[in-house]
Amino acid sequence: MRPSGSDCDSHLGLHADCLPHQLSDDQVMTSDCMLIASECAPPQVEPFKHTSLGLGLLLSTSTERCVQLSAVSPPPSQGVTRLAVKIAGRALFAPSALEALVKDGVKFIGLDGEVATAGPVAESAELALLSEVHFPSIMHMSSALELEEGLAALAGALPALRAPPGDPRHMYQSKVTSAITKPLSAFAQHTFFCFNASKDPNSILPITALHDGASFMLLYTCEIILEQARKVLDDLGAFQSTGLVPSGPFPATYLVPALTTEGTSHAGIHINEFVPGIDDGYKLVGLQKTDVVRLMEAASGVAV
Amino acid sequence: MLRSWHMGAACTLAAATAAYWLYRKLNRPRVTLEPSAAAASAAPPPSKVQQPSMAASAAAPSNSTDAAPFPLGTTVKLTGLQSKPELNGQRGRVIGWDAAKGRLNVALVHGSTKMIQVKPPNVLVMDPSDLRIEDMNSDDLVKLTLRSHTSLTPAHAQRLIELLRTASDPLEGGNVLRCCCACEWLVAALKDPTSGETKVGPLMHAALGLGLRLSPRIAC
Repeated sequence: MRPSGSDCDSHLGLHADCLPHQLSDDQVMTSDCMLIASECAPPQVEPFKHTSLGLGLLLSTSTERCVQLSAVSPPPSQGVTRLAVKIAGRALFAPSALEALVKDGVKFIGLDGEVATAGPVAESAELALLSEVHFPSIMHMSSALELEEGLAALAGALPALRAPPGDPRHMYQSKVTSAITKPLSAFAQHTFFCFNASKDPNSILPITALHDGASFMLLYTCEIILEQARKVLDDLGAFQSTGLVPSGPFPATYLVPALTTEGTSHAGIHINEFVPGIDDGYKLVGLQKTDVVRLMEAASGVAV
Repeated sequence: MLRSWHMGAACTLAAATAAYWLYRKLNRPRVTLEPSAAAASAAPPPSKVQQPSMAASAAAPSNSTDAAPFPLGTTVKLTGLQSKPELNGQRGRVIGWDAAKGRLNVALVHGSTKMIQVKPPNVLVMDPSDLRIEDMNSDDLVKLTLRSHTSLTPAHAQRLIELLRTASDPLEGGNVLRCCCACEWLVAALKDPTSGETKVGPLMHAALGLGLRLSPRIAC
């Protein structure tokens, strides 16, 4: 029987149990298990060595293909068998996981390589790959997806984080904070992107939007999302300059200074607003500056 | 402190965006943010601060006739064509905008006609979920991830790889990376039953010498 995420949760106290062959009787395990397992003992995946490119990580879209890929290499030792492990891309490419793979010598990521065993078929084999130069990009993209998935949790925690001493919700602050550790960390460590309204190439001035009569900075979890919003904002007349309005990175560490410095008129931030078709859970609209401060403080472990 | 961040992170950020923004590198400033400067410039001119609904109604760009009504790459279905009714219902992608004629250049996905110029009312924007997987481009796949990170199936991943192998447009690089993160992948892991331990390994094995052809289509 394929294990569920809750099956994996039961092993959290015993890290040694969080491994593929103990979690699953069949040869495929679910990604939520792997998320836990990958934290216990990364990396557990088997790199592949290419003659000119060195070690790589081969990803497959089917079990058959994965087995075919692994079958071309001899077993590392007698009795060792292989598993096809299903893992979510965002977990595999999370900075901690991918950095661990790089540390172990992985130089490229191959996608669905049609590795043949020998002969003329090998000549026609083809491997679409992501090389090392793409690793920073894919790590940022992975972080962006993780943050997007955590935005709803952050929004849900705000009432408790806002509660003053004496408010019944105040007593739950520590529990709430511990429950959202990962989203908090993802938020506080993320590098957002924004449209830069500054004419000075050495400064960045995020484009803002009015919300409830106040000005909110428009931030996006990644440039791909930002570009999805460009057309909408253009149609709304947000860009009055001719040509392509530049965008730029905006680290979360800039948020508090940018929002709280004396003279600043920003009331807060919008995350992923004006992105057409985006799920409401992947955006956070109207986050007040006081809430931003609370979240950053909570992320740093400072008492709220 | 902010400048020191810049020195440390600018390279990383530049690398992090290289795949997607190669063509825009001229527009990538060396970014610094001085808190005081941010404060001083924190109140953008009204023209930059527009309530969307107001902006939509009151701030129509003066050059709106020059702007394409749909983003390039938008998947559309032809409709209401009088001169070539046989093309109605065909899918295509917006590949350009002829401002002088007020017509869209649409590349058709199937059929003998490769490209057609049509007026905007003669196209319907197609929802990504209505598209056949083989007709999807990387932007369609990204749009699916906007609805749900788990909406990409192995078939979508295979389409992604196909795009990666065949695409000539480096702009797709960022889309591909996002979709790679939103997919689930199968990877080979090792199991050592003799030890009875949970440890998996060893991880490395001998060089194989396979003659793979490589398709590093994401240009950086």
